Amino acid sequence: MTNIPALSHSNRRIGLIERIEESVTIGFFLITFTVVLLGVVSRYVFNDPIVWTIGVATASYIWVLSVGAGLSNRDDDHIQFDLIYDYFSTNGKLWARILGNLLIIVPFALAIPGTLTFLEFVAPDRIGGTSISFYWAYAGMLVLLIATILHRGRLLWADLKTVLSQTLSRVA
Amino acid sequence: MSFAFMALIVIFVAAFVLRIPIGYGLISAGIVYLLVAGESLSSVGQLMMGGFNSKFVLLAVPLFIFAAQIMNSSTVTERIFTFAFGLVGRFRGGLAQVNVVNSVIFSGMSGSAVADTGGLGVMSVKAMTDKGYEKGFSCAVTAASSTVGPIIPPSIPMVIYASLTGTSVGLLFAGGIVPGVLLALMLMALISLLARRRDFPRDPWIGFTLLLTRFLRAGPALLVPVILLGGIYAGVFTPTEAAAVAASYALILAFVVYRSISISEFVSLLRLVGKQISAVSLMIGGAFIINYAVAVEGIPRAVADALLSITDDGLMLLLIINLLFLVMGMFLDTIVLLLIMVPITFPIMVAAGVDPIHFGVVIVLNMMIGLSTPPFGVNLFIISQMTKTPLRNVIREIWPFIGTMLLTLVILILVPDLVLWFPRLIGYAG
Repeated sequence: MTNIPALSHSNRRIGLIERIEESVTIGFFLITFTVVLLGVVSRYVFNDPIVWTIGVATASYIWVLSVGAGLSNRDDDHIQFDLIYDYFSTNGKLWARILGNLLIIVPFALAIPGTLTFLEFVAPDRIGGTSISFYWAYAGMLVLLIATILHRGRLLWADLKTVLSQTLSRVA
Repeated sequence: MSFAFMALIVIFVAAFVLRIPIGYGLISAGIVYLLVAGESLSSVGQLMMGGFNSKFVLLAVPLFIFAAQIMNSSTVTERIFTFAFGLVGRFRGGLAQVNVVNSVIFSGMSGSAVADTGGLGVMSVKAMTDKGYEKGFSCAVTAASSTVGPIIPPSIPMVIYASLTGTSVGLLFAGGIVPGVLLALMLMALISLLARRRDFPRDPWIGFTLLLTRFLRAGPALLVPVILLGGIYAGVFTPTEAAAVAASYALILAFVVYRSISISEFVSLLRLVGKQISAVSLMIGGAFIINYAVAVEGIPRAVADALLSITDDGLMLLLIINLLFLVMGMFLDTIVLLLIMVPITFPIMVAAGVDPIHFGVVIVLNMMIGLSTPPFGVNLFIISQMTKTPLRNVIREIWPFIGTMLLTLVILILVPDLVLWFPRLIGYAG
């Protein structure tokens, strides 16, 4: 893994958000796991199939991937191809990161209004056998877009500050 | 090819050059495509969320990842290792053979080559280097043997292939059994040959009593594949449910039977699992948008026409497509390759009369070879990083293993019955 700029971890609010992200991911994963297992037990042990397990497990899985993606941002753990990037100079890497983060932030920001329209469209429908609206089942998508913009925005801001300080020191 | 699709390709390539996380790169490329094509961006959510919602089988992916991590974090891996050592440690180059047998056993529980490399693999390399094996060689054996993991069921790539093509996961799993064993035997034969040539050490035979003790010690863990596959083929569970049952059985082993994992270790494991799941699932979600673009642009038809103008022979087409996957596998991540290329090539293969189960198993093996092939073999990176071995030392030793894996691939391409024998035994009509 290549080093990304050191970020301040002293900010308590960011720390709190990260802990929430972690707990929500783990919580939704445990729901996914338990609900799938519940479906098996209910069908074979109690001979009483439950209709909502698939829908609820899928919805919670969507939330795992939506919120969990943020954790990987923090620890630089996403799957990425760094064979070409590693050949760049320090400055080249800096600009590659800036461009890369812009390539994520801009399209993700543009997708937010459309995603809201999509969520409103699916809102009247319910997960089979439950009163849970698909609005909430799929709202993870909106969280994914916003959280990604914030996470990548933090990284972008750190890199832009480096560029700014380099420029200022050159001028001085 | 439309301007919108060219924009998609540009963003996709930029994602690789600029080291954008691949999942984000796929989603960004998809959003740009929809934008340039003048489509509503409400399709982003519709394609991604709708994709997950319509493919229940994909739920097996996070659950298999969870099961593999529990196995790796408990003493299961150590128990498998000591049993495998008792079984084949007495042969020349025994520890290298143990490495392969470990992978065969572990593959029946995890379905992920990367989990195998990162867990049992590291343990095997340490044991081998302690006995005087060269570190590069030990890492190469580990990287190569872990490719058995996703061939022998369960298999995460096979689950994804099934979700993309509508093929039965159970039949794909059945199709992987003989090829997985064949690959393991081929690797063991190579090790045997190298062991004689390089005079590798052998360990004394431990005797039947100790072997039986070790078997009983590992017994509960060895039951995982029996429960899993037995459940699927008896029609008791779907593959997704089987993954949940495997994970819960692994939890019982770790917490109750072996008492080898603490609550705080379990929380750390869940955190790791959450990250791994989201990284893989993000790529799957992004691929739903890309696959939509590929379908709208008629890419499968265009590729089919191009290939069919060369030949319409099923075997030749299978060889050409395998060559394409091998080359792309050297540079692209396995999951990306699977998600992007399978929807393009699958219709051609079916039209040319290639059996979908045969194609699936062969393609998964092909991509697993890519995991150990320089320059972008993920297994090579993981094992070299985790054992602090220079990558060039691992690459120097990996070539005979890649040759053996390629030979196995060619055999499986030419003899489809090796793949289809077991599925037919359980009722497949193909």
